[in-house]
Amino acid sequence: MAKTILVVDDSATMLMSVKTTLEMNGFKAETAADGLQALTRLKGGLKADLIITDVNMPNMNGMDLIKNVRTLPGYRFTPILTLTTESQATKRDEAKKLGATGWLVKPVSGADLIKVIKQVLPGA
Amino acid sequence: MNPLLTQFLSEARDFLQSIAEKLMQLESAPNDNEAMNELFRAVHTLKGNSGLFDFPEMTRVLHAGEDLLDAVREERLAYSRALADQLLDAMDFVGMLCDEIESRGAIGAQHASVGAELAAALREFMTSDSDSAPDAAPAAPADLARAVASNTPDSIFLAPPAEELLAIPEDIRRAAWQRAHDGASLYWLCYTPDEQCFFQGEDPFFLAQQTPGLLWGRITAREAWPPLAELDAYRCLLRFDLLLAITRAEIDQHFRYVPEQLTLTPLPALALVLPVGDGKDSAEGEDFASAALHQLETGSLDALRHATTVMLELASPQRWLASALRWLLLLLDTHAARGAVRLLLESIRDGATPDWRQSGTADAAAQATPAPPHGDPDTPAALLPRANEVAWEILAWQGEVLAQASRVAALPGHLHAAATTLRNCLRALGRPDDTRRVDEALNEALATSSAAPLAACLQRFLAEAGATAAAPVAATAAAPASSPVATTASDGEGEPRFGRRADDLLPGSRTLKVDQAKIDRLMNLIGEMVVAKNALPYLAARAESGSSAREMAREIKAQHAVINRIAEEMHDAIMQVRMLPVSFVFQRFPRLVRDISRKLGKEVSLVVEGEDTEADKNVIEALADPLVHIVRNSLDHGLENPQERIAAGKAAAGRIALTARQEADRVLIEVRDDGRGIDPAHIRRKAVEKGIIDADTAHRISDQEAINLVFAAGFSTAEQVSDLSGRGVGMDVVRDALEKVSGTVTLESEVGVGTCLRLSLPLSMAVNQVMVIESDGQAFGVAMDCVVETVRLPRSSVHTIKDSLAAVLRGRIVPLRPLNTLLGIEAPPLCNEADELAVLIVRHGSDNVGVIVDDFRQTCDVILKPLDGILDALPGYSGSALMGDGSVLLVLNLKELI
Repeated sequence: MAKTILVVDDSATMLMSVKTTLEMNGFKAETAADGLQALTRLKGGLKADLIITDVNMPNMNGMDLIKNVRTLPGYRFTPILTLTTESQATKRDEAKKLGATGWLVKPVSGADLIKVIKQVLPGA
Repeated sequence: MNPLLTQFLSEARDFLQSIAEKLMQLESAPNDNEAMNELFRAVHTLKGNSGLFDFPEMTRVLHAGEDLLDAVREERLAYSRALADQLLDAMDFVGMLCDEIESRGAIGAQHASVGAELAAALREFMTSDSDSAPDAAPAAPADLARAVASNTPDSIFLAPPAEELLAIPEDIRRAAWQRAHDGASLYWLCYTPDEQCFFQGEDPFFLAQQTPGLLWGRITAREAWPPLAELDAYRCLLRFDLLLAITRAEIDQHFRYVPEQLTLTPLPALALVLPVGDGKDSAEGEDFASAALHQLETGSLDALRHATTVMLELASPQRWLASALRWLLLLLDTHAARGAVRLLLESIRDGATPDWRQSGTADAAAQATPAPPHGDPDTPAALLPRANEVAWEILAWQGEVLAQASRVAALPGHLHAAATTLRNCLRALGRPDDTRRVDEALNEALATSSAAPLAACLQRFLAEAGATAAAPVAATAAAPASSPVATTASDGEGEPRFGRRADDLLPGSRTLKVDQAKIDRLMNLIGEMVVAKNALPYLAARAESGSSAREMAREIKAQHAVINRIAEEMHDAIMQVRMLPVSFVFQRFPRLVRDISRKLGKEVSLVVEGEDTEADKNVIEALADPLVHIVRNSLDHGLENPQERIAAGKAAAGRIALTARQEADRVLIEVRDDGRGIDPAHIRRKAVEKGIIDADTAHRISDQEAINLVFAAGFSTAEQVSDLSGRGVGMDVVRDALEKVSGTVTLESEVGVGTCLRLSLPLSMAVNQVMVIESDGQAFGVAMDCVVETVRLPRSSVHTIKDSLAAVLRGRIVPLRPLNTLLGIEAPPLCNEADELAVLIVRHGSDNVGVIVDDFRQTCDVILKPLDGILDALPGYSGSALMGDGSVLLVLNLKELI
């Protein structure tokens, strides 16, 4: 069965771009425009096998989202990738501490994205 | 275009808009952390998105902007106006790139350098000492200051090259020299209007033409003209070169809206001393100059002058030598410095164009500093030397066109176009009286379907001009065939095409963003419609099986009611989809007000209220341009300078309030300022000067009526524009634009307190509700939005006052007009059995007027079609509508009739 990936980004362009890449590679992509929306969807029963999130977003940023997702039942080990334009080491370490699985810097090519996903998503 | 790119562009525009808004917001509240964060995020996300594509220029600028904002956000750098300016510039650049991507699919290479410059400018803020107060940086005037670096040694490189100066006729250069000798300072001004200036309410030609102290000017194309098919007449690609005898302050004042579009160069008078003509090298010139130089050394200036005069008489006036001698004489007459005279003589001796750069060393007093050419290789053809000459040029071309046209049968449209061109040219030449002759010729031409009478008329004008003026027409024969003047003049045939509008150029407005809920409602209604439709075959089956007619009728009526309800709701729903908030128009004002007020050196706070009021897309779009004009007028004329305001006991910062609200089925927009108000006395005087009203009327009318005169056509005209409005946008244009969408505008003003303009527009325009009335057995429609009420008045209560009828209705006198009289129908109005007249009370301006009709019928919704073809000329009708029974209803335009 196709794996479901939740993509969180406040830019519709970015969502469209990532979603297209994922769907072309046989994944099922769900989207959310900010951390709060993503969290609501996850709490509402959406089952995601992987979460890809931006860091800088309105309402709830990526860092807080990671922190919150880790407290949800069943999401303790779900891989979470950040996809952001920020490349500061401090932010990166912070995300790692909060429980992020990987840190991707935008713009990332489709092939690279899929390669990383296959690394972190068992059985994909 | 690929969908991802489309998405990117649409989102980028939203981001740019929100960035501009946040910057404005921060301007008033620099410590608003939330706005700061949102601003940062918008730039950040936009940058991230641009990285998805290969737009390095865009990414570079955005990246610099992001870093800068990051520094501000973390308080490593103070937010300042200068910083906001730079960011706005950068975002404008990004917006421009978006437009280019949308139209061409890629970014031209020419933007790389601009992008790098902008990015560098943004980064400069971060490297510069953040302790220094950035707010102290002077604003707009700095642009001018930069252009005129008159006391730096570099300024000589700014002077226009000698070739450009040679384009100025010698007599004008001589006059300019004389002016400089009399103490005026000369400037060479290169004015490059913004390409989009026509959409910003500017009139570059008018502005240039009205420049005080204008000695000479020309208009050239900035680049080669594209082929006619690709020519976009709405882009301004012109450059104005002006020779001015003027002070800096006057220039700043006159071009206060567009200082960034000027390159101003102080022009040393000597730079104008350039002889022209044939045969530079001549033996007699060399001999004369050698002798003259000797006379100059020995100080016998009188002898030199005498020799020059004699020599000038001998030389043929077209020769280079003669030109040089005339200059020499002028230099001597105006007691020019000896160094200058020597240099001119040397150049006569060598047969070379004088090089005034050397004279600075030869004679310090000469102060001559012209003109090494600085990389401006294109020498565009001189197009429009002066308005007069242009007008003559157009006339000459028109003559050729007519000469060709007179061989075939001419179309009326063509003749009208030609006649209009002639009339306008004559008016431009200051001969409005002669337009009557054009009209006569036009009538004759129309009668005979031939262009010959017009051509003959034109030839007479040209012949007269040849006798009086120094044959500028002959010169035009040599004008390049590609001249745009020629193109416009010869393009007179057939219908002129007015397809293109401002919104065609604004790609952002092509998508309509609709709330999901509105679409869902429409979807539900369609579902209901499908179900309602299914009832019809069922009814047909019932009819076949032989139900009684009465029962059938009842069921059909019931079904009609259902479908009618759905249709009405669908209409409403689709209108809702077309609804846009007025913020669509309002959002551009913070930037506009900020930019203009800073150029004018005024402090203005803009208050916007009710921007979520909604109205139909067409109405909102029709509102945009009039509002820009009104707000600009308020800024320029309404609000005083801070000093004047303080002197008048007001706060230094002026206030402009833009409010929108919905009232019944209309949107009311109010633009209120607390400026100096409109002085009725001043308006009266102006109106009399313009011949709009005579002096008696001016005395008789009330102050309010006097103020309303600003709406009169022709109130804002040439002379007045330069002193009041500056751009030639009259209030009549505003009023006309609003009336096109059946809106109204009213003006209230109190001297010293402020001015308030109220615009009232209908919410939507697609479907009109009309009331059907009857007069002399015919049905007419009257738009419901002007109907106040319908009453039945006993015939006895109608009074005759002088020649007109009136009645008292609820304690107010209402004038009455029989519709039959208005329409020129002979029949008297009919009464019902109770001897009562049917009176339709309609709104007319701010008053109510009663229209006596024969009878009222129902009201109904119609799609109004304007009358076209020959019926278009009937002003009394606003259009026709198709009724349910297939008949055509004429809808009256009561505004015109009453």
